[in-house]
Amino acid sequence: MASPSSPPDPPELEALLAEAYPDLRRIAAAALRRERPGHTLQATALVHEAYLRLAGQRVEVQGRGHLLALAARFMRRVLVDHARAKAAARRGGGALRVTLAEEVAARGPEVDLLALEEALDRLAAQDPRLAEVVELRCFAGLSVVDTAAALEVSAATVKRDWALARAFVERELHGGA
Amino acid sequence: MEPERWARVKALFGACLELPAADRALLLAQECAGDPDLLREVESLLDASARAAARDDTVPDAVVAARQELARELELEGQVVGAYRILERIGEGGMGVVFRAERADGQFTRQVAVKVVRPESATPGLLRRFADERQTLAALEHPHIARLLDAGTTADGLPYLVMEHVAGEELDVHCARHGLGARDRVRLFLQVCDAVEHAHRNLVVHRDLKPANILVAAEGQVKLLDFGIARLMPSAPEDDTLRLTRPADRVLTPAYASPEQILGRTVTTSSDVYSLGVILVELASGQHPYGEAALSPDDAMRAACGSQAPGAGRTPEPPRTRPALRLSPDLRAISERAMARRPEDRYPSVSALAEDLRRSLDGRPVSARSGLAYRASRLVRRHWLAAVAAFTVLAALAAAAVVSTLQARVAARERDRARVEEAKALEVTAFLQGMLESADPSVGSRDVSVAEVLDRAAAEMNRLDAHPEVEAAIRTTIARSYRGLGHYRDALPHFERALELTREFHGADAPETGCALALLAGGLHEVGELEAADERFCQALALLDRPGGNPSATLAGVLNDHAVLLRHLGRLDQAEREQRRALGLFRGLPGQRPEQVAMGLNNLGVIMEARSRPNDAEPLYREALELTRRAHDRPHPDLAFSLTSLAGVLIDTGRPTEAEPLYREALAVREQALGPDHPLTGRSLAELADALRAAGRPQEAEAPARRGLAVAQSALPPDHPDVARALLVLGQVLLDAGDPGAAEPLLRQALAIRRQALPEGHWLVASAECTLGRAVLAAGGPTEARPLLAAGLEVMSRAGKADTEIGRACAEALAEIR
Repeated sequence: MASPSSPPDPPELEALLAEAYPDLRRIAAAALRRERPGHTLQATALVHEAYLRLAGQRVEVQGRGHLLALAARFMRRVLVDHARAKAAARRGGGALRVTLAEEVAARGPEVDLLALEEALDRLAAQDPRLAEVVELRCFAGLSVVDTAAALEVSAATVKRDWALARAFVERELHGGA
Repeated sequence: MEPERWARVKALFGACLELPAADRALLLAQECAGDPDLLREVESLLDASARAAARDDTVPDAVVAARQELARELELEGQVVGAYRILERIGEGGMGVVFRAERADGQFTRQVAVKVVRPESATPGLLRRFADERQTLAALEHPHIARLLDAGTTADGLPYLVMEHVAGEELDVHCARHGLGARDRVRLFLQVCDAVEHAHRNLVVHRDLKPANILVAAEGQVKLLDFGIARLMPSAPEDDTLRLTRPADRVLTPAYASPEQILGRTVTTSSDVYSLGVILVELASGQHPYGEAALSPDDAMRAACGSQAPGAGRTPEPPRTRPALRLSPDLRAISERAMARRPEDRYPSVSALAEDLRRSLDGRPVSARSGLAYRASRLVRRHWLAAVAAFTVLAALAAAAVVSTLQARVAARERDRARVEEAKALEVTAFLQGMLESADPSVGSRDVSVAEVLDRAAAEMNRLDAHPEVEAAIRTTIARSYRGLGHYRDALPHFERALELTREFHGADAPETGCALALLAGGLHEVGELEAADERFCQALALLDRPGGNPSATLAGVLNDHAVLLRHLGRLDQAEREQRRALGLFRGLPGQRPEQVAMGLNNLGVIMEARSRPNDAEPLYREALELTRRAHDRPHPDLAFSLTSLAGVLIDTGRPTEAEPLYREALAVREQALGPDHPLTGRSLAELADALRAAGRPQEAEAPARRGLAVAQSALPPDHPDVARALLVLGQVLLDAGDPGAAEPLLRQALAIRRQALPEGHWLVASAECTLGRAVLAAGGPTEARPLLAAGLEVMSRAGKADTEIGRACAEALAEIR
């Protein structure tokens, strides 16, 4: 296995998700259902709990950090899959709304998420740890301190990494200068 | 970026963040000296960082929105809606998420699909429509239609539909995976047609046909999903009476939607025919008819509607990009007809489309290729025509309302008068809209013919105690609509009533009465009552053409129309006089319009021809054609007139081969602008036939001659001059083709009509006599032929027509007898 803080390698994650997907979705539903805007930590705790149940059987979880990274990766995966399905439905003959002004709302909220996903992929290519910070903070809703604990680095490092990661993503999404 | 360089960026970025903004520049200047790229990189990251920090959000909005949406959807899983327990999400579209579900009470094991509307699609009007349409949709029972089983709202108030769950794959996927050949694909497609046809018979329009809505189950059985759902789903305007003029936002799939759907106009069964055409092309050729580029909605819209901005008030252009079709000629013709830009040019029904496909499978000739059975049945005009009529009337009305208001202002009458005019225009518009709304198939409950729409409006008028001026305006609009559709006879009573009302209200001597008289005269002329028309025109001119009065466009128009009538009556001196005056007025009017000048030129040319001066007519026609081409950038009936006029001269001066392309262009223009059943389209067919015959190709001429006669006979009264002309053309064609026996009865009929309609001694009667004489002679009756030929030739000579083709042929025939 990789270092304690790194998420499972892709084949492992694929296999896990493929088998556990319906269960995970239902658990994610339970998590998300209780979620109120701005209170994402609770969801994380629940995904964490859900994952714990699954991981207990299928994956050797190497510490809390690994677990949280998996939870974040999993949440990201669920949301992106959902967004992709929606985007595909729109493109491939899903119904479109045509407004009075005949504008076509070809672009839905999922577009933003998929753009973020691409930006994160580019960030990971440049600096994997920065991408992990974003994943933990955005998709698992961890605070700086929790992120630091999960990654086993100092809070100051997370703070710095987070600032740079955000700047990187921001620039990817909304252009340079 | 190289890791070393990235580490450097990272360090500098971190260092800068520690510093107050003012000190950063200094640090960067030192550290990045000689490396402007590094400076730019760090600066742009700092800028982005400031922007991100200003937003003060840890979790990006995109993630929050996605989580909330997913949460809402996931929440339904495992829940019970109505009698069903939701099992899992199986798909999603733009308007909702689809779940697999089962009966919650365990009574049946049958699984169903539950479609839950997204919150943003759930408007107040939606529930009402659900209640209205549920029964209709639930009653739609057909082996190829997935049934609507139930509908309701979830605990959260989200509307849902429960439908038969179909385990199958999408039509195009199925065809590709099984490597089906063209014939098998068409057979599957015929199942689709069956289902759509069944729904149409039950007054349900699908509105969103596309491969994704057509599943093929394991046994090769097709199932259509979402029938009529598109109508339930969109948030249509709450005020349904505005539907005709104000396109609602609708659910549609641009790549499969008809032009009228994209433009937000009334959607009818014909829109489904269009979508089926698109699917057929895609299925049979493997390519979407708009080409690869059509995947984006904007492109699809452009392809279906041409470059025109959607929502513009005119009929959209046909798709610009045609696929590199590998379709058979049959399928190509069939799909092109199904996908005709204008609903009235498409198959009148899905069954007609299916029939053509079956013919193609059986190797029989298809109607779309012969172009003959194109003719939509005159008896059963379907919804689309009502929609077309509705728009015609509304457009005319909008124009009329504006004009009358403007006129009121220009005349500088008192303010009250202008208000009355405006009120009148509004009242008229509201009334007709109400009438036409009732003809909207989605509102009414059965097929409605155009005549019915207009007649219903007329009947309603009698019950409505309308202001006489308002009623006159509506009657005139109704009459014009009939006329626009070629139903001349039906227009008459409305022109008459409009005249009566106008006379009552404005007085017998008022110019308004003159206008009403002229309109009636035109109507009488069109149904062939020439003498009565002349009388009305003279009365109209007496009111409009007063000494010292201002020359007006109205006067010019009435003079023009009267001149045409006079020519038909053979009163050529007077016709030429009035026509020259009309032309002068058209040319001199302030803001003169080229198309009016062209009309004046054309009509004068016709008179010149009638006076046997074709060489004087030719330059008039050429100028007219040039003006007309300049005045219209799309096919327009006026262009057909100009073309046929010039072609006529070419025929008369012995140049039928030069005339033929002009006739063909005119025919194409009329078919496109007026439709295949219009009397003028019939006339074009007869003219083309005559040119082909004159060019010595009677065999080629027979088909258009027969079609021309069929159109004239079905669209016009039996004694109409155009019927006589069509009979003569076919008779001459058959005579030239060596079948005088078949020609004879047609020519006798033609002669009878002309004798009845025209004064004694008219050369048109004589020319019919000449031709009949020749047919009788050729059929072996010299005794009867001789007096016909002799009398005909005499009149022809007197009219200066002895040296025409007919005159010469007549003289030869006489010589033969002697």
